[in-house]
Amino acid sequence: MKKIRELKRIIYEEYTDEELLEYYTRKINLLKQAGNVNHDVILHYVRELNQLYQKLNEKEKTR
Amino acid sequence: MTSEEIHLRQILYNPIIRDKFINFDENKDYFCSCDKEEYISKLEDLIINDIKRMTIDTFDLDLIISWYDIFLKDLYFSDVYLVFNSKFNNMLFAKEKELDIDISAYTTYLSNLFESNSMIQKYNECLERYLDLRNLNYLTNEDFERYVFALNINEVHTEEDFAYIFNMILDKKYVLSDLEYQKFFQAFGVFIMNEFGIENPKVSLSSVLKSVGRYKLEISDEKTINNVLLNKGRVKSSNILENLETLFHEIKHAIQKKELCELYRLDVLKQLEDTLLKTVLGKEYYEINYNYLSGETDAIVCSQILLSEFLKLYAPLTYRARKEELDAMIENALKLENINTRGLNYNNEYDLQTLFTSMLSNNLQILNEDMLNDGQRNVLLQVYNLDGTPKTPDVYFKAKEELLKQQSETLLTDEETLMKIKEKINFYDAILNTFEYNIENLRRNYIALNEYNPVNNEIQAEVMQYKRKVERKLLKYNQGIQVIQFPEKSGVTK
Repeated sequence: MKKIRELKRIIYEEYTDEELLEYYTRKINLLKQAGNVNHDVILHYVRELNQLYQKLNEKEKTR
Repeated sequence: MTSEEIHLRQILYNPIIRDKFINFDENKDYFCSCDKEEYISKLEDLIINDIKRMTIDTFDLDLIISWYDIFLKDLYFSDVYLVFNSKFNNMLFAKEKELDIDISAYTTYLSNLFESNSMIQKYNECLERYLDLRNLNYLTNEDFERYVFALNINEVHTEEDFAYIFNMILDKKYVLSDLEYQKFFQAFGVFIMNEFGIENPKVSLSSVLKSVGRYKLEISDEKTINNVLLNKGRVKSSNILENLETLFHEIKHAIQKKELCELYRLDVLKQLEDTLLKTVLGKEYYEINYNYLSGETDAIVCSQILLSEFLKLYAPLTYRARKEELDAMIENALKLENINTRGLNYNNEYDLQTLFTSMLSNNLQILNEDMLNDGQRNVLLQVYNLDGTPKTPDVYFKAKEELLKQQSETLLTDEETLMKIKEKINFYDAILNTFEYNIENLRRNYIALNEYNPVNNEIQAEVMQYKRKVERKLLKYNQGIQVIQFPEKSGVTK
């Protein structure tokens, strides 16, 4: 398989669920650290994160 | 230019000194700094670069012949000469009328030097010989340079060719002359842009660029060219990581142009808002907010993640050695991406959406003029009304209700449709959850929500929750109202 396809996926921001999980976790931590950030923005990412957890858990169960 | 380089160039270009060099033994006093072999080895790089340059820019037949006779005893040098003249020959006949060259002198020279068939044969032999170098277990730096030279001439490249060269430079620490590296890097740039689905890609090197790179969309009647400009002085093998990051950064800008018209994503909307604020407010907005502009932070984050993944795939040793540094870079870029405030001058900061709403209400012609293409207008009109006011939350909740209905009617196997529905729901959720509003909009939102009664139970609960949030914010505003003083209708510059 062409390795370059992996890079194409990244430049078009087509992340896998696992990558998104890492991204949202990072983002939430950074927002918390920054302080003085709109609380709703953090909540938005927390919601996204929860949805992903649920999705990944269901994936795990069906394996 | 160093004094040594000046001296070497005199040997090449000054006929009197060149004659002295031919009779080296008789003029040893003149060439007292080193012996003849050392001179020749020092002249090698100069000769090779000058032959390549002259083949492209001018063509001094006598001078090249004299170099060939005196200096080009090495097989590689005569091959370089041969290859470049063969290329030049083709170019010459194809563009005979455009070039200011004495063709008869050139063809006479060629016919004296080689039979044309044997020349083509030698050209192919030399390419094959250098491309075979890749199969050796151990390469000298000179062998590596020769291999890249042959690859650059070859014009058709595979991913493996590029991967091999990057690996050799990054993990194995080989270096290339600037000329070969620049050609190789340009070819790689075009190759990867093609792989990323960017139409009519071009990578140019510029000596006048102030920044490390720039993306330029060149529109003509015939076609639209996606041109990535790189600062020529920075493109060298010792700067390979910076070069890759710059290339990825500028390629992301090319992709953003496309994304701005097609995607339902909050970061894309923010990019559009920043772009329009820059267009209306001018250079100052761009300069004050450069580090936080959504298009820039998006390109920075993307290019750094891409660089990290690139090294993981093609230069694992370098990746391992620099992992922490790369992670820290990505972390910093993500911090910049989180900043949602923008400055109008160096003292005041405003929330991006509040600032954009104020600007839009003073410059409604944006929505009608040719400043936006159809795709961009569609994205913007998802969020703003034609009178410049932001859409009220009930619009998004209604749209979500419709989308959830569509979702329930779509077959689970129709992944593409489900993905598009999910993308839109996420977009509306992101707007509902992250947009900041001033008091006037909060009141409008509250009234609109009061008049809206969703059918879907899930949406009903969301609306209730959202209304409570708006109420809390309204209460907060009553304690300390935030007012934006936005300049009166400013002249719109395109």
